Amino acid sequence: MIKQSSRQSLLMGIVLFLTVASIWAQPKAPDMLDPRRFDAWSVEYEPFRLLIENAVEEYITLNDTDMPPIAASDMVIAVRSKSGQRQLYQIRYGTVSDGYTVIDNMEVKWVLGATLAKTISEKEKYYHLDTQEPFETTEHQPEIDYLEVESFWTHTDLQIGADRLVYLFGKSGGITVEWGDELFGRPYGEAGFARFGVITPIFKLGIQIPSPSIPLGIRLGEDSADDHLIGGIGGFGAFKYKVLYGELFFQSLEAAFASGSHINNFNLGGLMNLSFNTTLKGINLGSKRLFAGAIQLRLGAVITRVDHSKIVNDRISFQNHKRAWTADPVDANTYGGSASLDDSGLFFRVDYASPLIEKKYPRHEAVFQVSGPSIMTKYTYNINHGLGIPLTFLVYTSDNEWTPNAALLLGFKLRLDQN
Amino acid sequence: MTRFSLKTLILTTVLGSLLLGQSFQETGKLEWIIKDRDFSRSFMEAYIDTLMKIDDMAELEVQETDELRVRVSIDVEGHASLDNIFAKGRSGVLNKLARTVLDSMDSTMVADVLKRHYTWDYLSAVDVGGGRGEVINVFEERSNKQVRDAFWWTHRRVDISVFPRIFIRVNPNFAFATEFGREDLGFPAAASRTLNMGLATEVLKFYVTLPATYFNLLGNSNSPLEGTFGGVLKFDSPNFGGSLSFQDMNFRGTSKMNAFLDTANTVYNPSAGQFYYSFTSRIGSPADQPGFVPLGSLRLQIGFTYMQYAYGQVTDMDEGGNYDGLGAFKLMDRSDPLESMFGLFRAEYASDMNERFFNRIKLAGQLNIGLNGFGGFDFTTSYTITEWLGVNLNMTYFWTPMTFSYVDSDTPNITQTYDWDPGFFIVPSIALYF
Repeated sequence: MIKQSSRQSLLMGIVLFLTVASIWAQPKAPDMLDPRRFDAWSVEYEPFRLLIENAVEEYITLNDTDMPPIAASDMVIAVRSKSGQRQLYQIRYGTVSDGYTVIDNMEVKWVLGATLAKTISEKEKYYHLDTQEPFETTEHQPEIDYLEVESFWTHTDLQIGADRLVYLFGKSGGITVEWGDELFGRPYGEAGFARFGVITPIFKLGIQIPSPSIPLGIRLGEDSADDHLIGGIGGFGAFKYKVLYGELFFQSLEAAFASGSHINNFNLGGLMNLSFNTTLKGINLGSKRLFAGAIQLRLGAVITRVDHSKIVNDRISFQNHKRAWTADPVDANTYGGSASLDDSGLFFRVDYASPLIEKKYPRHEAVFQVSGPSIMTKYTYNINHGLGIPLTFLVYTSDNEWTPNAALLLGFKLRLDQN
Repeated sequence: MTRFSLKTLILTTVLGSLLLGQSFQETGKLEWIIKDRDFSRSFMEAYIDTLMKIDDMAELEVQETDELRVRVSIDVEGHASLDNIFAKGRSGVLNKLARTVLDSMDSTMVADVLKRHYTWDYLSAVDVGGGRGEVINVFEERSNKQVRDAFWWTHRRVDISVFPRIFIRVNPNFAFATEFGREDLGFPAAASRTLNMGLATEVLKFYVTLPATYFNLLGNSNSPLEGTFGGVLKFDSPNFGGSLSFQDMNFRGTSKMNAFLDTANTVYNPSAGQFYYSFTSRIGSPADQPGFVPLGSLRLQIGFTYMQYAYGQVTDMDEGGNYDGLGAFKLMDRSDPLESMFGLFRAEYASDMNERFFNRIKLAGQLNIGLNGFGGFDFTTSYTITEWLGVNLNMTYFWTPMTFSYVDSDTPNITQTYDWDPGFFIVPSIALYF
């Protein structure tokens, strides 16, 4: 009896110890600051960020401290006092999911040195992004962070999807390969082009080449096999600067890559939109909340020009938007008449992400988008952090010879992290 | 027994030397200046006291008010050990503190120096002898950023280089920007009949392109690249950047709107893309040392440009030669993908900012080498006289013409050619800063 109770006590003790130890092992949530008294921003200018990383490593080397080094995926936040000499007050580094380490007050000067501390405090002179992270008075919403990052950049080291591949070389850059352009209402093979380029959290830039116009599903209401766009050789660039997104691409047909009697291609495209994020509390259904999570609204305009060409003596002969091929209505119908700006118009998009599982991925993602004449609905079911299955339904409201009426497309998305 | 001992001895020696060799193998050095006057004064007082105890006749080369410079070695396992401490007096002479004295001092005091729990600072470029050391620190990175900012936009509130470019930094985050021509593509100011206006931030520029013209000191004997309406997107980061742009001659409207345009032989750039890798290094000598180039930063960009050239005419005649009054651009030839590819090499130099917060000298040279032989060289120099005034000179030279071929509707069996030779451009300007 005594033996059993002492065994129980021992077991209880171990459980208690492990519980307390695991609580202690959790990163301590840093104190929240008063936004009226402090400015906070993330250090995005790479050389200055590297100097902070080096300074922290030096401090760890010189001192017997359990302070962790700054990881490549960490956000580095500088906090400056608004009063007095506007000196650097804090450096915070870490991630939303793992928590932040804080270097405070005097320790900032010990770690960074006088000139680096002064340089970092002068945020007006280098690239930074203002952040509310140290000022959050309510619970942080990682779903917004997820939508913000995934809409342009990626949370994982390698993302392989039917529409894009992103391979990161650390926090600051990577390579990207894209098939089609969802924001122009032409995902996968619907645009006729693929892209290769470099990507950073702020911009991407690269070349555009023709790709097979294979439907990744079924196209509905095609008048003929030529009812699709052909890609050309060109370039693309896009940026995401705070709430502003801009994209521009151009391409020109090359005879070697073009075929068919109707040759239609997007020879110019531009997109500009503003975004707004908010969280959803959802509808209370007992133990669950329906439609809880976050949404991102984007509103702007899209401009695209579809060019119509034919091959004459092995050379592409194209026509511009001022002058049709011919006054003959039969020929004009065959070759599409003058270049068209019909695919231009309003851009509106809503992205939804359900609450994150293990602070990493949402089970459900949904998109509704209007981009000129294209209306897109997309649902993604994330089986786990690694694999998601997106299903896209497109409806084209304009009736022309380079677009089917609708398409139902199936893709995949793999997310992998390096160990 | 003896043999065993010898073998053991050899093995021990080899292993021992390997271990010792490893433990003393250095992976790096740290060096900094102690800026905490109270800390360095108390340390120096203790040092001088200890020195006097060891040898009261010792000649004192250091004093309590000296600035201390600490050098630390880091071994492969990441352990730090004190290498040397130097004391710098008002004369600027560095005196190495005696190791025997340091070893005799209170060990906690020496350990405190190592811990760096005081205000300290990096060594500046001048401290390490003109920046030729391996020390990369905040001073170098700040100077490197200055050269990037000087050419990307400006670190001044208003920068008017009358007139190739104007930058007005509305707030620290963005500026209104206006630039004549496309210097990044090798067609600055007078060499390109465009005016690019828009917004600039730390990392990107977004411009609308308009047709325009600019004064060339060599007159109008040469043929600049024609311009029309379009757009430009540019990116730049410390390591790489690029741009994307388009123009369309048909955005110009009717043939009556053809100011700044050679309608008979129109060569323009419908689309362009550029990508480059860049790195910055220190160059030059401080003012008190011999050398031709003042201490500054040199940024090199290596990359490629895809720049398509279209040749045609802006005409009121349709494809069949009938008058339609549209004034549309009739494309006659364009550069193929290989002819459109150019190698890019650019160097930008800015002398370090002086005590009056301006870069006295700025220089930039750019080489664009086409795969078919067409190419050009662009050189810009800027000398800032005082805080608010500077002079600039830009020179651009294209060494060979680009040949377009086309078939005229009047003579359909004969292939004709047009040699487009942009020539030589010289553009002086005055810069005003506020």
